[in-house]
Amino acid sequence: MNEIISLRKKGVDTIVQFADGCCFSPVVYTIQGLGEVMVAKESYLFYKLHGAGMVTKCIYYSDNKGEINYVATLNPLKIDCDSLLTFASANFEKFRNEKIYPFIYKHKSDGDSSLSWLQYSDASYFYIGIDTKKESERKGLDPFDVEREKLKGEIENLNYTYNSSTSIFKIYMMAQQLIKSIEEKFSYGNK
Amino acid sequence: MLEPRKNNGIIVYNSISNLNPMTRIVFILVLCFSCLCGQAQFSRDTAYRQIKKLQSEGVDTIIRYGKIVPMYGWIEQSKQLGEIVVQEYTFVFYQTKGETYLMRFMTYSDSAGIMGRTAVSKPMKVDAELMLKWAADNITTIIKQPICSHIIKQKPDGVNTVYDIYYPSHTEGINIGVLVGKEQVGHDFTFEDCQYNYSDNGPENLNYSYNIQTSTYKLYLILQAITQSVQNELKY
Repeated sequence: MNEIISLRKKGVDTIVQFADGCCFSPVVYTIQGLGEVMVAKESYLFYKLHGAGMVTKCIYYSDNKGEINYVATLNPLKIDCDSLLTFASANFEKFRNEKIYPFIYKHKSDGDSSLSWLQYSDASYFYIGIDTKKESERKGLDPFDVEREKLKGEIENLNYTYNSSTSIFKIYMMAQQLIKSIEEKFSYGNK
Repeated sequence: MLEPRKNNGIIVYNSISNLNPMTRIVFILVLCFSCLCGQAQFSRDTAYRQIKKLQSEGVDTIIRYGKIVPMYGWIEQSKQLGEIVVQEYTFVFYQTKGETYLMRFMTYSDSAGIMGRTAVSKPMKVDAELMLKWAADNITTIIKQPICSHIIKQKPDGVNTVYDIYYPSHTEGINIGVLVGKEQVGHDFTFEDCQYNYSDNGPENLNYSYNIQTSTYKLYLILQAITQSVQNELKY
């Protein structure tokens, strides 16, 4: 990713990347100066530069015909992301060895019992990455897989305890909180 | 919105847009059955058209049995076609005028290595009346009893138990459809879903005991036996 290479050249050590992966159902945005475009992915990069916490947003979009792909990098904003970067650095090995397991639940029918896999049609899918000076690792997370139960408690996610204890999930939660606090400050037009 | 589909249990929800990498691998096989590409779905599409034709002619009970191995295939010595590699088969069983017939639709690579060749066999008389009758009598149970995924238990951190889906990309995908009058059911599953474990020391498939007592699995065994016994006699 060019943005990460560019940050590396500026001397950035650790970068946490948080991206949604809506590439199968692009969203139409109106972006100032660009007009109506189809956004396939939004990505946030958290890092520290000259002692200050920063976040940059990258928008992966195509023209309104969907023929040519572009990346728009918005001006970085200051943010207090020390805890996220510290946690990500300290848990890099744990993060590397983890994965989020699918939503599996016990199903009972006519006295028979089996294990079934539940998927959700409208859930978003997220990618989380940690880039240290020497290494990088990417993981995926479907928010549906980190839910405790579904259908008003009728079915319980047997993988909830493990999934919610992973560093992948913790980084996902921390990044989401940070994004909530700054999302409005990124000015690029109307969704 | 929740969009239920019948597979791997009673409630499963699917969308390609949200799949994590593991899920996506799983979903690719399901797609192979339905919408991967024109050539690969030839046998299923053509079988579907044949089934519609049979239904319009008043045929009441039809069984469809499909199998596919993405990126691989089955080598077959055919008297008419020579040595071919078949990527996808769809068999259709039906009864008309007191006789039971089988047709086979397939996508294959020919002996010259040309991919995407297709063939439809002539209807062949087979002794499958009992199977069609059994499927018709048991369609309610078949609807209720899909084959569930091959799910294994692990302790990735040595403490917490997790459940994961075992799904090698090259596994054989199976599709069985039963159509009786206006009732119909289709189940997609894989060869691995019906195995106890994937290697001698591999963890137990937690759905194995459930899967092998389902009516769907029993029908699958009968379909396997019949199609294997007649595959060299089919004519194109």
